[in-house]
Amino acid sequence: MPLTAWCFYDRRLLAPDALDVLTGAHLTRAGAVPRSHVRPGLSVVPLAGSPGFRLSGSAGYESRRVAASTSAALAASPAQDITLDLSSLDHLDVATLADIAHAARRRPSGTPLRLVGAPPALHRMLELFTELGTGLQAVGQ
Amino acid sequence: MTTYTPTSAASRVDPVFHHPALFYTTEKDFLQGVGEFIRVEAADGRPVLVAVPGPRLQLLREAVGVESESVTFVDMRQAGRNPGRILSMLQDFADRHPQRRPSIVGEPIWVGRTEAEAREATRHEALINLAFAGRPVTILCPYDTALPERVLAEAHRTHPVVGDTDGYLRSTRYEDPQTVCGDCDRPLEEPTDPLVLHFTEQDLADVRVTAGHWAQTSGLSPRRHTDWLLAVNEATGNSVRHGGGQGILRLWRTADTLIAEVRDRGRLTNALVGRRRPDPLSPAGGRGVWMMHQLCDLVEMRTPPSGLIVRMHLTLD
Repeated sequence: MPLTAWCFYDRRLLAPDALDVLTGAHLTRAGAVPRSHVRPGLSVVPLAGSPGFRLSGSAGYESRRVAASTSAALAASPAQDITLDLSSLDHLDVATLADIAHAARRRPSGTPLRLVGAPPALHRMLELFTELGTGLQAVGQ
Repeated sequence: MTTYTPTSAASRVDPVFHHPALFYTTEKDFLQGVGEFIRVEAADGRPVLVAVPGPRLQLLREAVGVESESVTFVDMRQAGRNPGRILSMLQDFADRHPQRRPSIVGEPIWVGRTEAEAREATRHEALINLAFAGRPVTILCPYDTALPERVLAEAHRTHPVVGDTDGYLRSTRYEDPQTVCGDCDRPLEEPTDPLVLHFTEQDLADVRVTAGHWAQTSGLSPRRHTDWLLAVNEATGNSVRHGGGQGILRLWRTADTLIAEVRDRGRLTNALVGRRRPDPLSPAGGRGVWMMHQLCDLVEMRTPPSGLIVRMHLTLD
């Protein structure tokens, strides 16, 4: 869609964690570097060419709110095909994978959630918890 | 040779759950005692899980001659490499056959186990009595008499019934499982010059990066690197969630093992935590300790007055 949208957020009114989530939800940004960009945390941006998101960094307990927000967006998306690009993810924890699996099961279209570039941690966790793979379709890079 | 059967007089310590130890000295004793048990149980239509060290598996298969689909053979050296994950496997098997009185052969300690592994395997044997109390299951545990005397003595404390080639008797030295577990809580040996990382929630990602780099430079193979990171992540995350919001991670290497230890102010209120496969989709979590047991070659947990210590071992390839 040929559209440019500017979103403004008042840093004085937002908690750092909330600002991190909002920053991760935009393709580009202006202003001071938010905390998540100087620490190896989890960041999320929408994919440019198709419905979906790219996760970057490292997902753990500290990034649970980012994971929950992303999963909520995935679950609510009306898109038939949606992709989660994990190729820039250094680490994925089981709680984040469970969030993603929950979202895949709730998708209104019922089509599998497409995972691109899944890190070794995802494959290892699916060995331990095969049921988390329901609704997920892991493909290559 | 007297074959153990759930109806024999000595087995009636718990009217439902039976947990005998079989002491054997020769291969012939092992094949007769264990093989006959498997044949009898399978002939009665019971599902049988046989988890013994690999070298004995093929011998048993040939000796038993059981072609039935009801007998499952598992190499305990692999499945039970970490004694802390055996109980989950046994409960999974029993859960799959709730109506057919499953029978299990489990040999968690073999000649060559380290002292720390044998101690955790003894804890596992004690916890079997808690986990299966009142359940219609028989678990026969073979013990090689070539094992150290202290290990054989513990088997008398963790099995209500003990036997050998002459038959089975009630163990006069049987102890309450909690008492045995308490005795297994020996102080852990202090490492020399470990890498020490103090962490709170905001440090968790940095801790994973540091622990990952340290493991790589310490010689951990790429195959085990994922296991290492997942285990460290769960342990440090548990400290933040349940251990007072912060913890201390210590990393060190021995000749053939990488060790990660997490200390925090948490408590372990249930000795069976992590010993049963959790529902991964449960909103309550509860996956961390079980995952650590699955991913590591040995997990030692201690509860000193200061809190909780979780020590995880990964063997270098």
